Amino acid sequence: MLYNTEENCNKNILVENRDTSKAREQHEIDTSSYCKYTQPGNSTERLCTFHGCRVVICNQIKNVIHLVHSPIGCAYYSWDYRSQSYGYGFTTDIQERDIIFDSEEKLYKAILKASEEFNPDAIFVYETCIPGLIGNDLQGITKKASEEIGIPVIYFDCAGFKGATQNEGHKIANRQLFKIIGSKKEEFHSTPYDVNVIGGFSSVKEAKIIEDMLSKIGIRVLCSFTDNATIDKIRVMDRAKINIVHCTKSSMYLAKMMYKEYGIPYIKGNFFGIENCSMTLRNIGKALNIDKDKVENFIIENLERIKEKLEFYRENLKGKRVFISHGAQRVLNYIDPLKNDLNMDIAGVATYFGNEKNYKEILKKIPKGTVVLDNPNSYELERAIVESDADVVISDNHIRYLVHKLGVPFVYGRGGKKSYVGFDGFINFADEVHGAINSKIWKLIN
Amino acid sequence: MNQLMGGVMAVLGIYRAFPLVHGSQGCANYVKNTLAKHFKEPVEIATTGFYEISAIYGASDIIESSIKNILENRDPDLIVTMTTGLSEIIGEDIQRELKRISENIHKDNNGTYLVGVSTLSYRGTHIDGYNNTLKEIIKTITEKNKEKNKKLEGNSLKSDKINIIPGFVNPGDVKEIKNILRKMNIGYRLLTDITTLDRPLRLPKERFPKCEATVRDIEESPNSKSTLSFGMEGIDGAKYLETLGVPSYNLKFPIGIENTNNFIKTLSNISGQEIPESLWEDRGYAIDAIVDGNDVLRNKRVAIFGDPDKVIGLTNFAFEMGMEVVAVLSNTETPHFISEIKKISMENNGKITIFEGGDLYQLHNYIKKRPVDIIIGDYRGRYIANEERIPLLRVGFPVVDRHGYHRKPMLGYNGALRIAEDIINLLIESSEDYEGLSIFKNYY
Repeated sequence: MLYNTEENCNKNILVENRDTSKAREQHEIDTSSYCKYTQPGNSTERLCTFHGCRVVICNQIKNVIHLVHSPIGCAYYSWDYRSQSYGYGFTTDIQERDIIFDSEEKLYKAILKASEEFNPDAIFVYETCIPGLIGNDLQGITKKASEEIGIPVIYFDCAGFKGATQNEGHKIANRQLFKIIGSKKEEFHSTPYDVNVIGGFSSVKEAKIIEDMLSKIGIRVLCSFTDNATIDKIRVMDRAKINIVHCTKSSMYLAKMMYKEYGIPYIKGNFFGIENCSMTLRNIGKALNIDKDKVENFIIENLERIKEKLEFYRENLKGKRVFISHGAQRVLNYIDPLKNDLNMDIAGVATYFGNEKNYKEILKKIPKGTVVLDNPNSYELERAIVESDADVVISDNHIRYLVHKLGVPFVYGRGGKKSYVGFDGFINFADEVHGAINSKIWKLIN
Repeated sequence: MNQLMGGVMAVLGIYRAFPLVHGSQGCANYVKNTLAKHFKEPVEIATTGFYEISAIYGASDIIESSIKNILENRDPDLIVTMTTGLSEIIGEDIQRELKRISENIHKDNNGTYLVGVSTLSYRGTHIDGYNNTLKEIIKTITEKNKEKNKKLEGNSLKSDKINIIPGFVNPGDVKEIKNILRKMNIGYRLLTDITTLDRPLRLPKERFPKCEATVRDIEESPNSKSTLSFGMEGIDGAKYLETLGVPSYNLKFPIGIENTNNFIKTLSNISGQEIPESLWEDRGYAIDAIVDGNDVLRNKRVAIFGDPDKVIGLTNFAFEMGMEVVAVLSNTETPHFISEIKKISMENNGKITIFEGGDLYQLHNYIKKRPVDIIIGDYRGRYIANEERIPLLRVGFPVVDRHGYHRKPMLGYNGALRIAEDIINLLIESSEDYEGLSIFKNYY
């Protein structure tokens, strides 16, 4: 499975973990050899389509009942998978008798009961593997229920076994949520500076920082899809002038659909990192014809404020080796800021799901001889981290404790309590990385 | 939680055992994520990677390649394949598949046991999952060793050891059970030992985390003198061993003073060992702490939720401490839960509202109407606790929002000491008035 060995230290090796001997012999890097399906028997970090739909995209939408049509497990684990969940988790709790007799009736009753007790703006119904296999007619039930209770009841046909990764779930969520865009018929006062930020799925806090930043240069965010979204906000998304696509992997579909249907153009934006953030603000300013000086002044003002701190971190983190393990899009977003803004070296990259295009882009950005792992199992990841001699690992919480057991500092890449977007956010991030590397405890392990 | 969680907990409690989840990637990863968050340890659970194509054409090939992959890369002593709702509903017979596979890979297999369990997601909960999985593991392993064991029986080589099935508990609890057994000088075979998920950080990282329950222990379990299990958790395994001639004792979880007394007395009866002075000391410490906190504890109204057998133990203990249990909720339906709680309630002149197989929404609604002073349960009680401003004592599994709770025992006298102290402190904290403590109050 290896990489970075002496004979091939001057090239990037994309490791496809199902055929490990091949990777070693490859003379040219074959980015098309990414692994679409997980090799049976691996302990992967990938999740299912249901997760991509319910947890990644839909869970952040407020005042909505997220009713999971599943046995107890799917609802239990996904409910507060990410800690920003609130209130109750809802499930139809499918039992054996329901499978044999009637799980549709149970779902219908659950929708009515939930709407009666909690008075939500909408009800989202998620299909899971079992209703997917026994063929429940979610479309019919949700339509009938919606007519009965008078609020939108949206179904997501996101059975877990569909598709190779959670990415399939993103598509389904985008497709279904697209249907409620533009459904607000009332008068709406729009301005020439209205935008949507699409594809931020981390936290409300992060969305508010971006909204706040944009409002300083006179831009109004109609909806942060979906980290600060409600049904009402999603409904008016069609009134925006442009869409800013934050995570292209999970929400490009929506941006494209909106372009096709409403003619709203989209630009890619990335608010992580000093350079990225300045660049994105400039691009948005250009797209909306905002006075150039206004944008530049805002950027300079911010850079002035954080200059001293940034210089400190640049000096102290210079040459430190960082290993990034995230989804392909997040890896791409993180490489440049770490390299250019913080002066760090990339020790290695691992992603759970990327496609050929992602890997081509990643390979362009990282130095030769750096390991790139595609959907690694925990053993491969372990070896890669140890052998790449990383000073710090940036990743999701999935692998936090594995990294700790290897005695390597870990930084949670999504932020959690602190947010990492914007100018001040990046200083937070640098502070975390600096703090993690310099904690004394790592020296005491052995 | 679903059966899979219990099954995985049983497998992870055995040294060099590897869980394989036959289902979609999410099934394995959700369980893995919850375990990692609770224990703050890396957890490995393999998935067969069940996709649409397997749903249509059948999934026997992916089980085979999964097992080959694990044998090649990990070489464990035991691979336990657990099904999910997805693989069950397409009508797959896991036992038959495994039989076929074990014949196919006969040459590559270096003595690794292959066990298959039906842990369907739409029946039962994690407690049933633990029970079923452990039984299947014991059954498969002992059946393969029948000949060997018969010889031992013939030579009357039965050992004096006692089989212990600790149940779906935390590493702290297992340590406490071991502690008691060592103090009493009793030889034991733990059939699961979840201390695999509480390991010291020392480099290099262990390939398989260490624990005291090994496949060898399970092989030899029919030679033990007797089997001890608690409540419903692992009772089927104990009953199966009974058919092999090992008498079994089913006790209540040793939570609180009385139940622990009972546990230790039973141990003493089975083994013929005296109860050592050090255990009397432990008992004294626990009782001392409860007595000292009596003015805080007495008459306090408490609601308890969680796994049925632990709730029974905690209810009894709460009454022992002088508290008044007003509501209990069990996440699993068991034949004896309601009758046991009613019995405890009668003995203590209590009046308990019982929710069996219910959810926290019911408990929340109850608490809204009839407030309680403290809630005892896992971390998901925090939503009620925050909204109603009631302290929550986190016990059991999962506790993902605090550190170190997997090391805190619930069982034995030390568990009683810990629970009593924690409740006392929570009650004091919740009644403290910091405004009244401010020395500047009058000046501002």
